[in-house]
Amino acid sequence: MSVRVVSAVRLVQQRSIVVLIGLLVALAGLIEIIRPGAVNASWVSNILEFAAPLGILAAGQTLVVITGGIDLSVANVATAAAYIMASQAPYGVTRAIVAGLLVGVVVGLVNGVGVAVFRVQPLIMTLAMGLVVTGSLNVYSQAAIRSVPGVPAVIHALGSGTVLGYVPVSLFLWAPLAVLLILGLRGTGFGRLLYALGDNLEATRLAGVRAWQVLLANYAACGLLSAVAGLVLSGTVNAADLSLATVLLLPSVAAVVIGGTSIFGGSGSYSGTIVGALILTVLNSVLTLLDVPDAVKQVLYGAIIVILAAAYTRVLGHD
Amino acid sequence: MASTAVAEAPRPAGFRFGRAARRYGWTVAVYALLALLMVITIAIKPDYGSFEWNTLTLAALPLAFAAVAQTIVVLSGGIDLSVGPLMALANVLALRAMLGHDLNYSLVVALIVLLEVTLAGALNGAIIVVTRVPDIVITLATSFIWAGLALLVLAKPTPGIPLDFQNLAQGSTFSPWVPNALLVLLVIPLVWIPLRRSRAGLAIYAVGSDRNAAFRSGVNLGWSRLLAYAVCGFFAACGGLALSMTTGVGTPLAGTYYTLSGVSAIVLGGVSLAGGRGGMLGPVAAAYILSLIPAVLIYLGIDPNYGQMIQGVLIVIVVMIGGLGVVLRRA
Amino acid sequence: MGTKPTGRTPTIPNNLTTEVSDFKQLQERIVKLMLGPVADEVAAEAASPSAPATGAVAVEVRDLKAGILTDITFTLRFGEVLGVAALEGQGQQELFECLAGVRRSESGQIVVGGKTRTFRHPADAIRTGLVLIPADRLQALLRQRSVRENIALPLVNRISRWGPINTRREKRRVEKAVKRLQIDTRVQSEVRRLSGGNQQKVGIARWLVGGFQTLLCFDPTRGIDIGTKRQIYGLIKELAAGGSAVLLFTSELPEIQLACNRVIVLFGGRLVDEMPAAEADEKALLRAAHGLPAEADAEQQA
Repeated sequence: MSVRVVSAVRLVQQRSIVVLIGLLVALAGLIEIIRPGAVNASWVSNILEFAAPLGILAAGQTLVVITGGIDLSVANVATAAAYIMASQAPYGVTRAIVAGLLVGVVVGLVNGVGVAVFRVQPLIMTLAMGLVVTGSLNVYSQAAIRSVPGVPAVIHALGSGTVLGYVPVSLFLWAPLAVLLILGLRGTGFGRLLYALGDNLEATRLAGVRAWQVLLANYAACGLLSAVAGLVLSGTVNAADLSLATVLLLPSVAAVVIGGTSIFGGSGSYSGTIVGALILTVLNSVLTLLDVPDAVKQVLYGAIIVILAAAYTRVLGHD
Repeated sequence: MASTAVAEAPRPAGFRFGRAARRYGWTVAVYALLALLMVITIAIKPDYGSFEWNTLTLAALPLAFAAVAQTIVVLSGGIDLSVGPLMALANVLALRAMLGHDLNYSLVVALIVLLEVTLAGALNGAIIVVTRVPDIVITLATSFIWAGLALLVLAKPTPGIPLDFQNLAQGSTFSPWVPNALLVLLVIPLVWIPLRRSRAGLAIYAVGSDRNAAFRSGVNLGWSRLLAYAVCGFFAACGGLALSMTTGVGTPLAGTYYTLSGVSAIVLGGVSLAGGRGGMLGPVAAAYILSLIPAVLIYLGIDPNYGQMIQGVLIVIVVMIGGLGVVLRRA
Repeated sequence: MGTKPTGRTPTIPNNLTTEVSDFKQLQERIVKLMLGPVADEVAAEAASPSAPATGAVAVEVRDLKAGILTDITFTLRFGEVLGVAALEGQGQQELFECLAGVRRSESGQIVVGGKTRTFRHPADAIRTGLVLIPADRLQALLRQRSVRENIALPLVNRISRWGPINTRREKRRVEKAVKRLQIDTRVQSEVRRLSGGNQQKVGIARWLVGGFQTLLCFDPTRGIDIGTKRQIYGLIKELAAGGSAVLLFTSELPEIQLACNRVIVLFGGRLVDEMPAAEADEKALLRAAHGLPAEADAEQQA
């Protein structure tokens, strides 16, 4: 390979986020071509509004993937949190929100106990817990509620309200959260430990780290973030049904992978995930614009994720 | 610490038995659990007859195939999160083609569907091998693709599987206590036993247990893994056809439950998610256990909605116990 | 340079090779040529063996039993480098693992700072000042992470340290350690790109930053180039001179005399011999390591 190409690839590897943003812009450009005039401030606002729940869901996923794990229960937790919040809302909105968030924390803790204390593989632990959550939610909905609960006004405003006409309210939640996570991963002991655990669990043990403490806290954090995402999502679509967030499981993992975090753990960042989430949301927008039936959209979505992941792995030479 | 050769004490006499116990112990335990559950079921419902037994074998059949499909991939060191959607795809393809036809035509359709979905499984494997993207990501994405295709083939649940075809599983040709649904399971050993004995089968185990060692022994990693995914596709297709036979309906969205339950069944069945270890007997028994639980609940008069939750809790407990074993051995 | 019996090597009747009269001399000559100007410095370090230290007791091991290890009793003092000599698999791994908290002993006591300790996790051992440098350095290192993160790892190993990192202070401490160990690479580099020698130095630097009282070095120079080897031994002696206690196992018996004050020998899981470094030449060690009683004299004929 010529020197130019090598240094170009090296640049991409180190500044992968630049490439991702470029891809994002390219996709937006594509929309503009398909339908001139579509890419305006209102469109951007829309994208941010729909990207926020995914971005927050993918935040939890990022934390878990960095440690070399995966959380396949995030969508179920998000759905459950929203449902419980909505069903408890008539008895007090604050209480309901706390209840919803608590669901996330509790499930996260159980996941953490399974993975950290009992050394169960994250894939199977979170898969099983997802089943428990869905099953429990079904039971709860049958027992407690007659009809699908409504979403309280506060949450609705959070999910779909805008400030000054264009800035989504949820951005005021997402942005500080993003800053907290990015800085936290980079500059706190906890962040360092997440990367360390993902890279070499045995090494952390030899250095005196009690891994179970970190993992437990991490999965709980992921659960909490999933719950938050669920609440925001219910506000965005103004509904809290039993399959609210089911479709977001794949995108939550895809955003993390496309954003450059290795699924094997030990590296990555939330900033990449954010761009990944934005790309996926814009991608969804493109497919919607092409006016294809939902099923075709689904097929194309899956196919494009495969292509993006493949291209990313090839270019960045992940082993 | 570096692994230096440690001078080993001479092995005690019971060592051979110990090793056999460890290898087959889990499988025996699972069958014991199944037997126990059956005893409990009959105790709860004394008039448990061949009809109930038939119902159970029908319910367990698709899940058993899903578990077997997943087992092969996991043995090779991977995982396939698209097993459920592959089953759904087979199911709806079968319905679409079989609608309004007779048994012979349906059988031909069945063969074609088996081929098609096997190829889909092979495609899963090919993508994984060629792109080098981890299997979790790829199969998560392809699960979307197969589910979407299933929806394109059949937009909503539609009945119409020819009765004769259904009876292949639903009837009891030989004896009421050996229903057809049990006989259909024979497909599994028919395919698995020759495969396991063959070089290809050995290669699959090798790739799963130590990829580097397998590579250095001359195993073609790519083809072996592709084969594992293709065979997974084959059994997923069987599962989808089983769905057609047992329900008589084409359901495009049936998939997701079977992916989760399939993985659960293989963990319950003693197959190591790390790869290279395990067989078919355990997962099939586990599939029966998982299918028995909703039935037991109904007999107990408990709301069947608890079924899913209890299945999940059971899996969680089982894997935690399994993990505990590992932890205690370390300390 | 491999294990060869000391003594004379017969001449090879071939007019392309010259007569070799003393193998050991040849070895030194080759090393000198390889190291260049560093050679003299290194030679000075490999000077006369040090005498046993007389500092306070750092670690006392009593009747330790674990795996093949039986009835191990010895004392390690501050200020000394205690060498462990043994052939492969004679229990040295179990000993180090017990002291590092990686493995539970079956019976016996480990006394640190006057108190009997129970180690259930390496963190327990580290709390009492015992840290481990394993032979397989990649076991202890984070391959994808930077040198800096690797070295600073002990600084975040407790819940109380999960909070924000003082980056300036961390950088200072890391760079100090890097300089002392002469790790010739940028602190941002990923550890997996480093040479084996540098990697091992990172492993040691970590504990310079993290703090320790007793260093447990298990074959720290395995597979490392000779220059770095001598550097590491030099550092070990420095650390001991500065007051730390060091327990050192190396599979290369000739090097024991280089670094240690005193040597204990393990064979079949038992402590079979103990000698001051002055007596611990390769011959004596080999005899003891094979479980043979010490011989008074006499060189073996080749």
